[in-house]
Parts: sequence; structure tokens; C-alpha cells
Amino acid sequence: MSALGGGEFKIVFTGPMGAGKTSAIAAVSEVTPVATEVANSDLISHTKASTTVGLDFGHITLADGQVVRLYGTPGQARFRFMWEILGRGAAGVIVLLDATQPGALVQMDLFVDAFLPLVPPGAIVIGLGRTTLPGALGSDAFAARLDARGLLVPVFSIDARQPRDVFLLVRTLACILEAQALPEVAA
Amino acid sequence: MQTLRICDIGLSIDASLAFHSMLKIVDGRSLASWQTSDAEHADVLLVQANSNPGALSAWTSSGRPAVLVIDDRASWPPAPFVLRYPFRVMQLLSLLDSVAEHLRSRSTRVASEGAAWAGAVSLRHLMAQTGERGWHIAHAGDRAFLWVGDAHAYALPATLQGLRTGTMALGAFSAAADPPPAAALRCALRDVAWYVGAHGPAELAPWLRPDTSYRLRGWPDFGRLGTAPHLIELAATAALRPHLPAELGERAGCAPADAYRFLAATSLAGLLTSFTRAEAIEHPHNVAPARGAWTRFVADLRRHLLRVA
Repeated sequence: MSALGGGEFKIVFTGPMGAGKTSAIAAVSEVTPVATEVANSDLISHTKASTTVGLDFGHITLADGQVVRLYGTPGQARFRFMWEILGRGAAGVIVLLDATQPGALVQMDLFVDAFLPLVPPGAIVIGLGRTTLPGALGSDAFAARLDARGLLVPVFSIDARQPRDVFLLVRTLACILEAQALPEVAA
Repeated sequence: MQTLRICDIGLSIDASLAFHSMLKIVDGRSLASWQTSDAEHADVLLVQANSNPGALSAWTSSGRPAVLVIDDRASWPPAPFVLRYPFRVMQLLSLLDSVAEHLRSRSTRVASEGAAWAGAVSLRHLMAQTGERGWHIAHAGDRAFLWVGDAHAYALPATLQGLRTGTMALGAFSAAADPPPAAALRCALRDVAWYVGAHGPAELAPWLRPDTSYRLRGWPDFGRLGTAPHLIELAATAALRPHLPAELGERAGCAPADAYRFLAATSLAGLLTSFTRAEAIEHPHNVAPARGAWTRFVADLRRHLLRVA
């Protein structure tokens, strides 16, 4: 990790319960992710059988041996204290949402507001799952809501189980970071 | 292969030496065979920006293209062909190919450009009409293949796939009474517009200007639209601040043609906003502090993801 001055390069996957954070990390991590799932006791929020209560962890190794660490947060607001612990020092955040969930737009606001202060300017990408199902909101609705707040954030329709889609999110984040880091030419 | 003559004037000694050395390297790799010549017999002028305004003005009035060379500290001039020194071989090659393509098509540009952009211009006109009733149809030969009405596009699945992959070109629309066939699928008009622009000609669209700066006002949904090499890099660069068309490609590390198609696609899809030069300079943008190791790491990550995706 010498290139990063002894620090770590960390990308955080966040979003509400059932949005696909654990699946997304499993889709792109080179190792079986470390997960802290327990039986879901909040069946009102989501009917899935298990849910993350601590964190998910996976990694991607680059050609020169350097490592990108992938952390997944718990989705439930009662574990919000974990969001700041995991988000602090992150290179960027990927917010995953379920487009069929009632209140998905409000959920997006909640997670964007929580992580925006923790990451570099603009280092946020939204992955929207289940957009092709009946009743789902399209990505335009989410982009418009962000635009109304003055935020220009990529919102992509994805399947969090598909490595190609998750790599698209991570690559977009890398492109944003790289574009921002390029030295400016004097105007 | 077309032979083109190029003359350099006003360059620094280092820049001139680099140019002549690289010209030998690109020999056989470019769309044209390049030879150096004096200004009188040259097809293209390579000139240091601001070094000789009179000569440049006289040159451009002849209708021949000029490549402006700027240095690291200079602002990007509103010109179609700009090269920043120090430059790499691939940057020179890409630019020379753009100039060669420009010259090759110039003689027939008026006719061919009109035809090549006809579908896009027609679609853009249709999208600007609010409250328009009835159907408009684009044809491929004698066959109707794309219907626009009710603020949506309708086409058979194979046609949509052809537009998505760029294997089917869109012609101009005309008003029609017949609705689309029952088997036609409905899709968002802005998605069709995106595909038309993304697979358009390798030149700046006629409604865009080389001396105007453009910034993204909304990201394309690459999850739904699909992506291609350079599109994400271009979007990330265009989201940061306004760029001139030629500057955008250079900063995103891709060929001018890729930047021109990206701008055509984003503008047709309503995702682009334009700025005058003064507005572009004043435009605020957030930039993370540049850190060498960090930047290299991120670039490595991006390349890694491009390979594995």
C-alpha cells in the first residue's frame, strides 16, 4: 500500500436492506466475502431471510498487487453508527437501491446525505436494481431528484448479482476520481 | 493512400524536434502518408498558438486546416484541431488522422454531411416540438422502420437492436397517418436519440459548435443504454466542468471522434448544457487535490476494471 501513503483504498457499498449490497460485493470480490448476516427480524422492511448487521468485506487485487477493499454497510437505520465508521476515509461510495420499494427516492436521500460528507466531492454512484419490474421507478426519477438538489450523480439501472453491472459502477467511480485528480490547465 | 503535406511554424525547438521524430514513427500507421513541406505547398499547418496571428489568419482564410500547438500553461483555444505540448505519439497520430479524415471528406462534405446527419437533425427537431400530434416515420429505403408519436419511439425488436448497435442508420422523418404495427415495441425517445448520436458521423454534429463549451447536466444511464470504451471517461470529464469539444477528447484520453459522438448523443438525449467561453471560465467545479500516487492508483484501477469487465 505504499502508493497510498500507508492508507487503504476503500469503496463502500451502502443502501437499504434488500438492495443487493452483499450480492454486489460477492459478484466482484476475488475472495468469498466476509459477511455478518443474521436471520432477518425486520420482516416489515423487507421479507428476505437474512440481513447484514455488521459489515460485508471483499477485495479486488490490481496487477501490481495493490488492493481495493470493498465494504458493505448494514442497510437498517438502527445500525447507522456503522455507516460513519465504514464511510470515513472511503475513496467513494456506491449507493444501491431497489426501484420497486415504496419510498426508494427518500431512501436515496437518506444514504446520499449520510455519505456525501464522508467521501471526496462527487465520488458517489447510484445503482438502481429491479428497474424492469412492474411499479418500478425509472432512473430518470432518481436523477431528477438529485438534480433538484444540485447534485450531478450517475444513476445506473443494474442487476447487483451481475459482475458486469457492479464493475460498471466501480469503474464509473474510478473515472470520476481520475477526472477530478487530473491537473487543471490554466484558464 | 492519400499523401498530405504538413508545415510547422513557430514551434519551440523541442516541440519541432518531437514532431518531426514522431512523424517518422506514425509513417504507415496513419490514414494518410504525411510529408513535411513549406507553407506554400502544405495542406496542413502546424503552428504554435499565438506565435504568428497574421500568418494563421491568412492560412485559415484559404480554407486549409491548421493544428494549434499549445503548452501546458495555455488555455484551450476554440479551434477544431489542438495539440498540447508535450504530446505523445498516439495523440499526434489521432490528431493527424482526424485532420486526414476532415480533408478527405471536405470535398463532398456538404452533400454527405447533410445525409449523414439527416436522421439526427430530424429527430432533434421532432423532440423539440411539444404537443405534436400524429405519427412521424423514418424509413430505411422503402421500408418504414421507426415511428415517433405520443412522445415515444416505436420499432420492431430487430430495429431497436440495430439502432443500439449502430448497424442501422436513421433517415429523416416524415409525417404519416399509419400507426406502428402491433409487434412494435415502445421505448423512450431519448434512448433512441442517444443511440443515433452515439453511432453518428465522426465529426462534430452540425448543431454543436467548436468554440462553445459543453458540460453534462445529467449522466446517461449506462446500465440501461449500455456502454462502450471511453464513454464513462468522457462522461466523468464532461460532468466536471465545461469543455470545448476538442478539449474534451484530449482530457478524457480518447480520439476526437469519440468525443464528438458522445456530445452528439448527450445533446440529443437532453443531457448537455452549453456555455460561452466567459461562462465556462467562471463555472465553479469541485476538484479533489491532485496526489500523484493516488492518481496513478485510480488510473490502474480503471484500467484493471476495463480489462475484467
